[in-house]
Amino acid sequence: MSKLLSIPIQREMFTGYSAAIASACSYGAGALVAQKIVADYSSPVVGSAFSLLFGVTIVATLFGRQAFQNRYLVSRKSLLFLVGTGTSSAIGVVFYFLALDYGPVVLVAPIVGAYPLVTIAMSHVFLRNLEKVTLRMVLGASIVVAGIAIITLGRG
Amino acid sequence: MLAVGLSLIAASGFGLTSALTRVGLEKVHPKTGVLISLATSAGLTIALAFSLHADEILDLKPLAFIWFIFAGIVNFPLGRLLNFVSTRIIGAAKSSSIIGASPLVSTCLAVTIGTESVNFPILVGIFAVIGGLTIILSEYQ
Repeated sequence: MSKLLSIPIQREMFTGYSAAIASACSYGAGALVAQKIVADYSSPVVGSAFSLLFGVTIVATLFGRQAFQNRYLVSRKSLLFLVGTGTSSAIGVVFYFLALDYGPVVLVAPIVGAYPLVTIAMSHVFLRNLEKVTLRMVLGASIVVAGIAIITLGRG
Repeated sequence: MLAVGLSLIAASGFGLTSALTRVGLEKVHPKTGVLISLATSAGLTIALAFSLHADEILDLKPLAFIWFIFAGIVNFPLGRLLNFVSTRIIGAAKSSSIIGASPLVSTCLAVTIGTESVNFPILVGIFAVIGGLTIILSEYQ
């Protein structure tokens, strides 16, 4: 019985891990597109602004109707956190580009690339009731961040 | 020193994004969450772009908009939506650790379809990232 019950949970976890890997692939490809935009067409802030504008237009076209129908499910608290998500993401992007104006990419990119460690620290402090941070997770994330820093230095 | 400070603020912004997403999506579908989050990011960034680079925006080439649309598709309906789905299911810490490995994909694409070549530090970095991801993914077992 317990085995039967665990199958949907395993399937959901598989979806979660697959979505994270697919998201990393999308962002990885997106970074190359951004590189092309910044090299040939616009400054980073203008490129980000128009990419976001087209992104939100596409998302609204695809999911706007469903989101509008579900608007009653969005509590004030959830709305506040999701607006916070958009704001902190915009702050991250703007300060990343500002940092690149004052320092070389080999210095800036590894520091910004360490953001998963910030998330882990915040999860440990503020999200204790929602998720558990394990030693294995911290070790894995630290090695990933170190690896990304080495790759950045190698490409720089 | 200023660059380090600005980089730390950027890292904190990205780190905070994942943590806030986890709480924001507790009772909200990721599609709705992405729309609210993107609309906020877009509003702020467009206001900043127009206030700092209005002249540049008026002089943009038409071909630039094709690239903006392409970047919009790759990063947002795909990247951010999948990011939100994974954050909701496996949590902010695990999800951001895996997604944080995205420069590995950029590097692999730059080497395979671009003009960049692999050197020793890049190889060491690639193995380190794969090792770190293996440790994180081993929790799935």
